[in-house]
Amino acid sequence: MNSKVVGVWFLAVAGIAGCAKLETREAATAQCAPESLRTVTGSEGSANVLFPDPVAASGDPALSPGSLRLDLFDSAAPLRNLGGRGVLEGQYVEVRNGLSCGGWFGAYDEKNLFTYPYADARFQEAASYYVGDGYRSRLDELQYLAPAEPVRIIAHCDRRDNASFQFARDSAGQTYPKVCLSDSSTNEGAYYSDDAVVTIHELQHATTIDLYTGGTRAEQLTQFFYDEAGALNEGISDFMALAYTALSLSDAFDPRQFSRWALDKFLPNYRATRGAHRCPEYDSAFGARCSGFPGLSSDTNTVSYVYPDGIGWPYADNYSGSDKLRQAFLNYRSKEEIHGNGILLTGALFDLYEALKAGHGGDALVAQGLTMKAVLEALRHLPRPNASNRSPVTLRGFAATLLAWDRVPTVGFSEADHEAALRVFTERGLIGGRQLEPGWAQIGDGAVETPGLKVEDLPQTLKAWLGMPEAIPQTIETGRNNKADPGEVIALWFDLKNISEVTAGGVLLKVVSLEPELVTFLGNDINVGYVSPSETQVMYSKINGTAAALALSSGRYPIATSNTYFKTVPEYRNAPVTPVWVKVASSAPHGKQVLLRVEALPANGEASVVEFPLTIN
Amino acid sequence: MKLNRGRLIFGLLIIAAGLALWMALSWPRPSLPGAPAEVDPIRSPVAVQVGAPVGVPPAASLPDRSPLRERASWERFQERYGKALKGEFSREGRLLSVRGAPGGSAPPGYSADDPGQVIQRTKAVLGDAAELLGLESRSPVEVTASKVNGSSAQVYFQQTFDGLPVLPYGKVVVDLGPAGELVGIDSDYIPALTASTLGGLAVEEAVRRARSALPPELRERKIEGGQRILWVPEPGAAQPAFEFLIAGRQLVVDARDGRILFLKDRREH
Repeated sequence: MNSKVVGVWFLAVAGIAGCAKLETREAATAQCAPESLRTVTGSEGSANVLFPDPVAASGDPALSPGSLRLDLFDSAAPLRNLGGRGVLEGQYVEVRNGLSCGGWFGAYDEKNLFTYPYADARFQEAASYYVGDGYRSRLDELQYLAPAEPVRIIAHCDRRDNASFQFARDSAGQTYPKVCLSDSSTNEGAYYSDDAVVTIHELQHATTIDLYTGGTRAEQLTQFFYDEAGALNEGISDFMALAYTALSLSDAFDPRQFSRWALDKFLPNYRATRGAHRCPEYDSAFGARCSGFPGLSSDTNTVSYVYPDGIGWPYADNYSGSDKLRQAFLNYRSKEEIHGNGILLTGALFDLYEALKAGHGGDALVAQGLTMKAVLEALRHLPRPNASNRSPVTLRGFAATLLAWDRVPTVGFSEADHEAALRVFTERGLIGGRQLEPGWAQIGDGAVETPGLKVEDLPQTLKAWLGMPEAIPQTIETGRNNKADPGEVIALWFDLKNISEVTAGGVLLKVVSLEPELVTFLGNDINVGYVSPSETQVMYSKINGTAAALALSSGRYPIATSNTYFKTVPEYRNAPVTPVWVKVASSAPHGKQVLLRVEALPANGEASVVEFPLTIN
Repeated sequence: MKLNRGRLIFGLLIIAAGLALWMALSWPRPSLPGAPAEVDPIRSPVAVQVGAPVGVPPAASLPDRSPLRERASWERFQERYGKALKGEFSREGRLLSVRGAPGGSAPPGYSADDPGQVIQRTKAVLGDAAELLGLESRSPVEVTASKVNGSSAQVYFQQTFDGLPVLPYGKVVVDLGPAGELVGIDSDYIPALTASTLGGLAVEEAVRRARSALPPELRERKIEGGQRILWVPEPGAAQPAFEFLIAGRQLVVDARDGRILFLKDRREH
């Protein structure tokens, strides 16, 4: 057969197959379960799944979301705990379809045979049920199921590149937990439901919130836009997903990689994958099992996920050239993003899991259970916010809490297990280590216009950040000088300087205006850490110590950083993550200096009080 | 220096008033009842807090900064629940949190697996801590959830006023160990609350007015809920409001005029 004929034949087949896939998916998306349901079958069924994700199921690291071969790699999986009404509704989760069925059940079969080809949109619904039911069954087996009621999962929830957990209210006004698994908007035909670690990550948020808040209202563990409670929240979700899926992963794949499908392949030209190793992928010793651990040096491209210097570094290697650490610092502009800052904790917990596995004769199931229970028990005992501390949870506090409760009967650590946990957390800087002493903080350079401080007063920026145009009274007349003019609302940051060798981590700022009739803090609808008109709180992720500043700013690839907040996190000013929001009284005299007292309390040391003068322009 | 007689008398009066106040505050008070099951200690009347001037450094832990009365009350509490317990206090001397460690013997008949006993125990704890926490009978706390697993138990309380939850604060959580020992209290209770529970709008009207003020991307989304609450924009004064959820965001709307009081994305990714 000549090559032209072969070529035409191949194109014809591919075209027909593509159209068939499209036609089948379009036909399938029109199918939703009947509006009225009744018991028609039992509690068991089956589905086709690509578990834990298409890459691992296929064994092909190069598999891409657009591949027409995905159907070749799915396998049959049993479904359990179904309610018997022919839909994906069960004891632990229920799965509905967002885009095609308006949040109603999509898949329906009177024999619970939810075995769809990949091209069928109901494939993702069935797969989500398999993953969610399996995970929550495991929590129940460990006697740590929370919330007790089923979690609703919406597959094909919407079109965007993300997934989420949220609370919703039913028609009776009762709050219920809901997971939203989106379809990628940047990558047609790519679904977050296909990646089990994403599904479990979101389901774990439901458990975490239920244990921390009681689960009766739409409340969170995360309090501020950035805080260590948020990093903990994300780190735990990543870990629980890794711990659950590790037992199903072949040795060909890295059990410490969070998301080899959705985060690794959906976004064009960028890998957002996270990991639980001791160093990031761009560390020069990553391939040698992070042999530079613990270390920090831009000269040797060494950075370790050790607290607190390891906070704020991305995981994936999106960089080229010989100065990768410097590139990561310059290009990674989310140094105070909670998902990235959870990586360190995820790694510590995975280290614990592996230590327990080694201590229990290689029994991964036992190690998984012990670690999961320890995490879930610790969540119950974390401190809740109060007027003195609006965000009291820290990564170090979590580690200490886990160690305090790991030997209770329902967790069941032995003394050897406990010692392993202590060792792991110490290695990761979450227990022990050098602490900051009082007086570690001083006033840094700040901005040229406002020494020691940074003021943002441009009205269009502030209005866009707040989404509340009426809250910003100033016009461009006074609102572009980056100074505090009378009558203005401003976003304000403090350039704390750390004169200790030790980096300050999780720094809670308690800010008090000593003249609140002149400088007042906006209310709790704007300042997330609001206490009163004269006091508010915010958290800075870290402030380099002099040792870290030197390690990063010297050698062949010096990074332009130093031991101040503004130089540790240069992007602080680009987004409304860590400002405090201030109203300057219209009657404030020009040239008047108002003192703002900042008590800076790091998670790894003593508080230090500094008074910043804010000059009224 | 020539001494002005009027000023001297005035100064002596001030000193006398100060002495009288000190004596009143340090006079021994009868201890709270020991929380037998039939008494609801959560509703015990307690002292109203006095505000502190701005700029006063926060009180750390007793005994150095608090008045004698609070110190005695805290010591009695520690006698009952554990001398190793550490308390955190507000500037005004109000108890904000308690921290302890697991370990201790259970009260007779106590079972950590029994939710009823757990709740009874936590109510007893709160009754004994009521004065320290600033709990007031006119704004009681009510149980909203409990988590019990045999190793520990947490009971979650929510402050109310006229039967409405006081948000976003007002949460009290009591944490018990395997033997019912107190291992933690966290309190965000707002004392001396003044509140109006009168709100003129029906919930549908509140929704209509709020929708028009929402950001564009939320205006067409479904608004769920509509529970009546009391919203505290700053500690002290509460106002009637409705609480909704809209696409995972918490939306609080003034029940008097439909103004948006609070909008926060509660989704977690």
